[in-house]
Amino acid sequence: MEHITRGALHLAMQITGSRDEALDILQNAVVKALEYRNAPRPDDAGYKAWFYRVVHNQAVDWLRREKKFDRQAQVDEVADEHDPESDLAMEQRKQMLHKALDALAAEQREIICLKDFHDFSYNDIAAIMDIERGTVMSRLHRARLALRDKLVALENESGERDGM
Amino acid sequence: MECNEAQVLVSGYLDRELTQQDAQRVRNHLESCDKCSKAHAEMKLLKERMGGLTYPDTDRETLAALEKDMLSQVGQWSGWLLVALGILVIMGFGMYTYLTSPDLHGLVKFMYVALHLGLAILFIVVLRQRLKTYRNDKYRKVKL
Repeated sequence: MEHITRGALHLAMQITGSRDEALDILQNAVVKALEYRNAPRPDDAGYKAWFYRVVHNQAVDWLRREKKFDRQAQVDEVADEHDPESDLAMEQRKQMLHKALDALAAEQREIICLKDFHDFSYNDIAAIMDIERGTVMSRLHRARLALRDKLVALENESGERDGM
Repeated sequence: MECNEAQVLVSGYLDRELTQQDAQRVRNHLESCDKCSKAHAEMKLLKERMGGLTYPDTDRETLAALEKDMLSQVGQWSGWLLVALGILVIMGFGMYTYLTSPDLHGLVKFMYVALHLGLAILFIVVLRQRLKTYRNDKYRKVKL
Protein backbone atom coordinates (compact mmCIF):
# COMPACT_ATOMS: atom_id res chain seq x y z
CA MET A 1 0.00 0.00 0.00
CA GLU A 2 2.79 2.42 0.93
CA HIS A 3 4.59 2.02 -2.41
CA ILE A 4 1.34 2.80 -4.27
CA THR A 5 0.78 5.93 -2.18
CA ARG A 6 4.40 7.00 -2.71
CA GLY A 7 4.21 6.34 -6.47
CA ALA A 8 0.92 8.25 -6.70
CA LEU A 9 2.55 11.15 -4.86
CA HIS A 10 5.34 11.14 -7.45
CA LEU A 11 2.77 11.18 -10.27
CA ALA A 12 1.01 14.17 -8.67
CA MET A 13 4.39 15.92 -8.35
CA GLN A 14 5.18 15.12 -11.98
CA ILE A 15 1.85 16.56 -13.19
CA THR A 16 1.68 19.66 -10.98
CA GLY A 17 5.36 20.37 -10.49
CA SER A 18 4.75 21.17 -6.85
CA ARG A 19 5.28 18.94 -3.81
CA ASP A 20 2.80 20.83 -1.62
CA GLU A 21 0.07 20.64 -4.24
CA ALA A 22 0.92 16.97 -4.81
CA LEU A 23 0.41 16.25 -1.10
CA ASP A 24 -2.97 18.04 -1.17
CA ILE A 25 -3.97 16.13 -4.30
CA LEU A 26 -2.96 12.83 -2.75
CA GLN A 27 -4.93 13.61 0.38
CA ASN A 28 -8.05 14.44 -1.64
CA ALA A 29 -7.54 11.32 -3.75
CA VAL A 30 -7.42 9.02 -0.73
CA VAL A 31 -10.50 10.67 0.77
CA LYS A 32 -12.29 10.08 -2.56
CA ALA A 33 -11.02 6.51 -2.64
CA LEU A 34 -12.30 5.86 0.89
CA GLU A 35 -15.66 7.45 0.12
CA TYR A 36 -16.24 5.57 -3.15
CA ARG A 37 -18.35 2.50 -2.48
CA ASN A 38 -17.33 0.48 -5.53
CA ALA A 39 -13.61 1.14 -5.14
CA PRO A 40 -11.38 -1.94 -5.53
CA ARG A 41 -9.68 -3.16 -2.36
CA PRO A 42 -6.01 -2.17 -1.88
CA ASP A 43 -4.93 -5.80 -2.33
CA ASP A 44 -6.84 -6.19 -5.65
CA ALA A 45 -4.77 -6.33 -8.85
CA GLY A 46 -6.54 -3.32 -10.40
CA TYR A 47 -6.24 -1.10 -7.31
CA LYS A 48 -2.98 0.61 -8.33
CA ALA A 49 -4.23 1.77 -11.75
CA TRP A 50 -7.61 2.72 -10.24
CA PHE A 51 -5.98 4.83 -7.51
CA TYR A 52 -3.65 6.49 -10.02
CA ARG A 53 -6.73 7.39 -12.07
CA VAL A 54 -8.25 9.11 -9.02
CA VAL A 55 -4.97 11.02 -8.55
CA HIS A 56 -4.92 11.87 -12.29
CA ASN A 57 -8.48 13.27 -12.08
CA GLN A 58 -7.65 15.32 -9.01
CA ALA A 59 -4.48 16.67 -10.64
CA VAL A 60 -6.30 17.54 -13.87
CA ASP A 61 -8.95 19.39 -11.84
CA TRP A 62 -6.15 21.32 -10.14
CA LEU A 63 -4.53 22.16 -13.49
CA ARG A 64 -7.87 23.41 -14.83
CA ARG A 65 -8.50 25.49 -11.71
CA GLU A 66 -5.04 26.98 -11.84
CA LYS A 67 -5.19 27.29 -15.67
CA LYS A 68 -1.82 25.55 -15.95
CA PHE A 69 -2.78 22.84 -18.43
CA ASP A 70 -0.35 23.92 -21.12
CA ARG A 71 2.21 25.57 -18.96
CA GLN A 72 5.41 24.04 -17.81
CA ALA A 73 5.95 22.88 -14.26
CA GLN A 74 7.97 24.81 -11.71
CA VAL A 75 11.30 23.10 -12.17
CA ASP A 76 12.95 23.93 -8.89
CA GLU A 77 10.24 22.50 -6.70
CA VAL A 78 10.37 18.92 -7.93
CA ALA A 79 13.94 18.70 -9.16
CA ASP A 80 15.83 16.00 -7.39
CA GLU A 81 17.82 16.98 -4.36
CA HIS A 82 21.53 17.00 -5.07
CA ASP A 83 23.40 14.05 -3.69
CA PRO A 84 27.08 14.92 -3.18
CA GLU A 85 28.00 11.24 -3.00
CA SER A 86 26.86 10.42 -6.51
CA ASP A 87 28.67 11.08 -9.74
CA LEU A 88 28.48 14.76 -10.69
CA ALA A 89 28.02 14.17 -14.41
CA MET A 90 25.17 11.74 -13.76
CA GLU A 91 23.54 14.24 -11.42
CA GLN A 92 23.81 16.93 -14.09
CA ARG A 93 22.20 14.64 -16.67
CA LYS A 94 19.36 13.91 -14.26
CA GLN A 95 18.82 17.60 -13.57
CA MET A 96 18.79 18.27 -17.30
CA LEU A 97 16.16 15.56 -17.83
CA HIS A 98 14.04 17.02 -15.03
CA LYS A 99 14.24 20.41 -16.71
CA ALA A 100 13.35 19.02 -20.14
CA LEU A 101 10.46 17.05 -18.66
CA ASP A 102 9.12 20.03 -16.78
CA ALA A 103 9.23 22.10 -19.96
CA LEU A 104 6.66 19.79 -21.60
CA ALA A 105 2.89 20.27 -21.45
CA ALA A 106 1.36 18.52 -18.42
CA GLU A 107 -0.34 15.86 -20.54
CA GLN A 108 2.89 14.89 -22.32
CA ARG A 109 4.81 14.85 -19.06
CA GLU A 110 2.20 12.61 -17.49
CA ILE A 111 2.04 10.02 -20.26
CA ILE A 112 5.85 9.66 -20.39
CA CYS A 113 6.05 9.34 -16.61
CA LEU A 114 3.25 6.76 -16.49
CA LYS A 115 5.11 4.57 -18.98
CA ASP A 116 8.81 5.14 -18.38
CA PHE A 117 8.86 6.02 -14.70
CA HIS A 118 5.88 4.12 -13.25
CA ASP A 119 6.05 1.32 -15.84
CA PHE A 120 2.32 0.99 -16.55
CA SER A 121 1.04 -0.98 -19.55
CA TYR A 122 -0.76 0.82 -22.40
CA ASN A 123 -4.06 -0.64 -21.16
CA ASP A 124 -3.51 0.81 -17.69
CA ILE A 125 -2.43 4.19 -19.09
CA ALA A 126 -5.57 4.26 -21.25
CA ALA A 127 -7.67 3.59 -18.14
CA ILE A 128 -5.84 6.14 -15.98
CA MET A 129 -5.96 8.95 -18.56
CA ASP A 130 -9.38 7.93 -19.88
CA ILE A 131 -8.26 7.66 -23.51
CA GLU A 132 -8.32 4.90 -26.13
CA ARG A 133 -5.53 2.33 -26.01
CA GLY A 134 -4.65 3.17 -29.63
CA THR A 135 -4.21 6.82 -28.68
CA VAL A 136 -1.69 5.95 -25.97
CA MET A 137 1.00 4.87 -28.45
CA SER A 138 0.71 7.92 -30.72
CA ARG A 139 0.54 10.38 -27.81
CA LEU A 140 3.42 8.69 -26.06
CA HIS A 141 5.49 8.77 -29.23
CA ARG A 142 4.83 12.50 -29.75
CA ALA A 143 5.64 13.18 -26.09
CA ARG A 144 8.92 11.27 -26.33
CA LEU A 145 9.90 13.18 -29.47
CA ALA A 146 9.09 16.46 -27.70
CA LEU A 147 11.14 15.39 -24.67
CA ARG A 148 14.08 14.38 -26.86
CA ASP A 149 13.99 17.77 -28.64
CA LYS A 150 13.82 19.70 -25.37
CA LEU A 151 16.67 17.66 -23.96
CA VAL A 152 18.86 18.19 -27.02
CA ALA A 153 18.14 21.95 -26.92
CA LEU A 154 18.98 22.13 -23.21
CA GLU A 155 22.17 20.10 -23.65
CA ASN A 156 23.28 22.29 -26.55
CA GLU A 157 22.52 25.39 -24.50
CA SER A 158 24.50 24.04 -21.58
CA GLY A 159 27.41 23.04 -23.87
CA GLU A 160 27.53 26.54 -25.33
CA ARG A 161 27.51 28.07 -21.85
CA ASP A 162 30.31 25.80 -20.67
CA GLY A 163 32.31 26.55 -23.83
CA MET A 164 32.20 30.31 -23.20
CA MET B 1 7.28 -0.81 -44.20
CA GLU B 2 7.77 2.93 -44.76
CA CYS B 3 9.68 5.14 -42.31
CA ASN B 4 6.55 7.15 -41.45
CA GLU B 5 4.75 4.05 -40.23
CA ALA B 6 7.82 2.68 -38.47
CA GLN B 7 8.42 5.96 -36.59
CA VAL B 8 4.99 5.78 -34.95
CA LEU B 9 5.35 2.09 -34.12
CA VAL B 10 8.83 2.50 -32.62
CA SER B 11 7.42 3.49 -29.23
CA GLY B 12 5.12 0.47 -29.17
CA TYR B 13 8.02 -1.75 -30.21
CA LEU B 14 10.21 -0.35 -27.47
CA ASP B 15 7.48 -0.91 -24.88
CA ARG B 16 6.72 -4.46 -26.16
CA GLU B 17 3.15 -3.45 -26.83
CA LEU B 18 2.94 -4.47 -30.51
CA THR B 19 1.52 -7.68 -31.92
CA GLN B 20 4.14 -10.27 -32.87
CA GLN B 21 3.53 -9.52 -36.52
CA ASP B 22 3.98 -5.74 -36.17
CA ALA B 23 7.01 -6.19 -33.93
CA GLN B 24 8.62 -8.37 -36.61
CA ARG B 25 7.88 -5.79 -39.32
CA VAL B 26 9.42 -3.00 -37.21
CA ARG B 27 12.46 -5.18 -36.40
CA ASN B 28 13.01 -5.85 -40.10
CA HIS B 29 12.71 -2.16 -40.90
CA LEU B 30 15.12 -1.13 -38.14
CA GLU B 31 17.71 -3.55 -39.48
CA SER B 32 17.60 -1.89 -42.88
CA CYS B 33 17.05 1.79 -42.00
CA ASP B 34 19.76 3.81 -40.27
CA LYS B 35 17.51 6.80 -39.62
CA CYS B 36 14.80 4.80 -37.82
CA SER B 37 17.39 2.67 -36.07
CA LYS B 38 18.99 5.85 -34.69
CA ALA B 39 15.57 7.15 -33.56
CA HIS B 40 14.92 3.83 -31.84
CA ALA B 41 18.29 3.97 -30.04
CA GLU B 42 17.55 7.54 -28.88
CA MET B 43 14.11 6.55 -27.55
CA LYS B 44 15.60 3.56 -25.78
CA LEU B 45 18.20 5.71 -24.08
CA LEU B 46 15.57 8.24 -23.09
CA LYS B 47 13.42 5.48 -21.61
CA GLU B 48 16.35 4.19 -19.57
CA ARG B 49 17.16 7.66 -18.32
CA MET B 50 13.53 8.25 -17.34
CA GLY B 51 13.55 5.06 -15.30
CA GLY B 52 16.51 6.38 -13.31
CA LEU B 53 14.86 9.64 -12.28
CA THR B 54 14.51 10.30 -8.59
CA TYR B 55 12.30 12.66 -6.65
CA PRO B 56 12.60 14.24 -3.20
CA ASP B 57 11.77 11.43 -0.84
CA THR B 58 8.75 11.61 1.37
CA ASP B 59 9.38 9.89 4.65
CA ARG B 60 7.15 7.15 6.03
CA GLU B 61 5.94 9.37 8.86
CA THR B 62 4.57 11.98 6.42
CA LEU B 63 2.72 9.33 4.40
CA ALA B 64 1.44 7.62 7.54
CA ALA B 65 0.30 10.97 8.97
CA LEU B 66 -1.42 11.74 5.67
CA GLU B 67 -3.35 8.47 5.74
CA LYS B 68 -4.22 8.91 9.41
CA ASP B 69 -5.34 12.47 8.74
CA MET B 70 -7.50 11.24 5.86
CA LEU B 71 -9.12 8.55 7.97
CA SER B 72 -9.92 11.04 10.71
CA GLN B 73 -11.30 13.44 8.07
CA VAL B 74 -13.59 10.74 6.69
CA GLY B 75 -14.56 9.74 10.24
CA GLN B 76 -15.35 13.34 11.09
CA TRP B 77 -17.50 13.79 7.97
CA SER B 78 -19.36 10.52 8.60
CA GLY B 79 -19.96 11.59 12.22
CA TRP B 80 -21.41 14.96 11.23
CA LEU B 81 -23.50 13.34 8.51
CA LEU B 82 -25.03 10.89 11.01
CA VAL B 83 -25.73 13.67 13.53
CA ALA B 84 -27.37 15.82 10.81
CA LEU B 85 -29.45 12.86 9.61
CA GLY B 86 -30.53 12.05 13.16
CA ILE B 87 -31.61 15.65 13.83
CA LEU B 88 -33.51 15.82 10.55
CA VAL B 89 -35.39 12.58 11.22
CA ILE B 90 -36.28 13.61 14.78
CA MET B 91 -37.40 17.08 13.61
CA GLY B 92 -39.42 15.61 10.76
CA PHE B 93 -41.11 13.09 13.03
CA GLY B 94 -41.82 15.75 15.66
CA MET B 95 -43.26 18.11 13.10
CA TYR B 96 -45.42 15.39 11.56
CA THR B 97 -46.80 14.32 14.96
CA TYR B 98 -47.38 17.93 16.01
CA LEU B 99 -49.06 19.05 12.81
CA THR B 100 -51.33 16.05 12.52
CA SER B 101 -52.51 16.39 16.13
CA PRO B 102 -56.26 17.34 16.12
CA ASP B 103 -56.04 19.06 19.56
CA LEU B 104 -53.92 22.01 18.42
CA HIS B 105 -55.10 25.33 17.08
CA GLY B 106 -54.13 26.23 13.46
CA LEU B 107 -52.26 29.38 14.60
CA VAL B 108 -50.05 27.38 16.96
CA LYS B 109 -49.27 24.96 14.15
CA PHE B 110 -48.41 27.86 11.88
CA MET B 111 -46.08 29.40 14.51
CA TYR B 112 -44.41 26.05 14.99
CA VAL B 113 -43.73 25.69 11.24
CA ALA B 114 -42.51 29.32 11.03
CA LEU B 115 -40.07 28.75 13.92
CA HIS B 116 -38.56 25.68 12.30
CA LEU B 117 -38.44 27.26 8.87
CA GLY B 118 -36.69 30.32 10.33
CA LEU B 119 -34.11 28.13 12.05
CA ALA B 120 -33.50 26.21 8.82
CA ILE B 121 -33.04 29.43 6.81
CA LEU B 122 -30.62 30.82 9.42
CA PHE B 123 -28.64 27.58 9.35
CA ILE B 124 -28.39 27.59 5.53
CA VAL B 125 -27.31 31.27 5.44
CA VAL B 126 -24.57 30.73 8.05
CA LEU B 127 -23.41 27.52 6.33
CA ARG B 128 -23.23 29.30 2.96
CA GLN B 129 -21.19 32.15 4.48
CA ARG B 130 -18.80 29.72 6.16
CA LEU B 131 -18.28 27.77 2.92
CA LYS B 132 -17.68 30.98 0.97
CA THR B 133 -15.11 32.16 3.52
CA TYR B 134 -13.43 28.74 3.49
CA ARG B 135 -13.10 28.73 -0.32
CA ASN B 136 -11.65 32.23 -0.47
CA ASP B 137 -9.37 31.86 2.52
CA LYS B 138 -5.84 32.29 1.17
CA TYR B 139 -4.29 31.19 4.42
CA ARG B 140 -6.20 27.93 4.96
CA LYS B 141 -3.18 25.88 3.88
CA VAL B 142 -0.85 27.62 6.29
CA LYS B 143 0.10 25.16 8.99
CA LEU B 144 0.55 26.74 12.40
